[in-house]
Amino acid sequence: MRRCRMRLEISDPGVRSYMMSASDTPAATRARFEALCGPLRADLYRYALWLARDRAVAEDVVQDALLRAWRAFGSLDAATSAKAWLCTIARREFARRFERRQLEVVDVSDLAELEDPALAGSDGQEVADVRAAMWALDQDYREPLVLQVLMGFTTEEIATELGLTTGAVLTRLFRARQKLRVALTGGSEEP
Amino acid sequence: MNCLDVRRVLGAEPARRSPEIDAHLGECAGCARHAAELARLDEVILRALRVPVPAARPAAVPAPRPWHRIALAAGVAATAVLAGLVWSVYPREALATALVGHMHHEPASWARTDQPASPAALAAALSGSGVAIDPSAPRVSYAMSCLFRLRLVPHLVVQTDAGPMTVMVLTREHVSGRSDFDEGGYRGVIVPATHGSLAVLAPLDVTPAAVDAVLARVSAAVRYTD
Repeated sequence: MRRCRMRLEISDPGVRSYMMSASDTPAATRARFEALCGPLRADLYRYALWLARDRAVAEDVVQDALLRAWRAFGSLDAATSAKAWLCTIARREFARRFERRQLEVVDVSDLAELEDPALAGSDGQEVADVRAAMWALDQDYREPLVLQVLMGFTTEEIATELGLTTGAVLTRLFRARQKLRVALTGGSEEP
Repeated sequence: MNCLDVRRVLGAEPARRSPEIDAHLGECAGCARHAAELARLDEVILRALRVPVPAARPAAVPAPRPWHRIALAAGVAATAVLAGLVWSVYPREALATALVGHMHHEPASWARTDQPASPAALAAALSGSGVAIDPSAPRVSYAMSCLFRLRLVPHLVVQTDAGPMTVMVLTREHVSGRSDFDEGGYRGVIVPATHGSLAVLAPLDVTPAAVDAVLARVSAAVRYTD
């Protein structure tokens, strides 16, 4: 039997305690969650996709992350930190899946847009080339770049999210762009 | 700062500016050009990262095997064209598809049973939804608050003479008119309601008339409290 990933209960202890502590009605809590997390879903999916490099896995990660977010809604200190909070949950969810089963190794060439209509588009050759180069980047370089450019995180926020020093993040960001430029234009990496 | 310092800073943070960087860019045409190229690269990276986001949640599929690529490419192209046509002609199909997809997550809810859902379970499922159910409703055997399209909605299963049927109270899903559907092994109907819409789904062996009868009873029993 497939488990219901999208099911949750208002009576869950986490949800209930949040409602009680916030003196909110369930409807108000629900509305606040939707208002806060709904607009972030698109970028959360994109972040998950760039982590997983698999559309179905990304959707699973987002669904489960949102479910966990709902259950842990009471632990969110401020609305302004919702994006980082959701990213952390999604990242942990992805790691959890990776621990549960080794994800299939994906050949970068297989990620060509032919296979995934979500990645195809009318963006033009330039964007397609960058996208292909991004797929080919090591995760260590790709993820900080995604967090910076797509999610708008500062270097310090990325360091916190990834458990790195700011120096290490800066190095990875520099190397990531360098590798992209080399992939797009040829040539060699600068020192 | 010399050229190497500036390029190292901007290579990691192209938007970073400081008096020292600005001063260097003002007097070094090469670095100014380099900074512009990095800014341009980031624009393209952002466009590349912003992949289209699916609205509905399809079932997970395994990664395709190499020998499937050509067939898959053709299939994807055909599906995209077909999906576009279907979407343009039958816009409510997407909601129906999402409902059917949700049904597949909870097969246990379809059990025939004489056991009604506990009042506490029913109350929890309806809590915060702005919906109440009158006693005139068919007997509810399953009640849950489910995350559907990023919103919590009451998901009920009612027991009828024709067998169990699922009722989804979709107060935030607005439809322009009645929509009958038959897909994924389910027969169903979505109708406009006082708030949003109401959907009833049943296995295909249930007649449309039986679905309509339950829809009528449920519609009469659902009260919107918000």
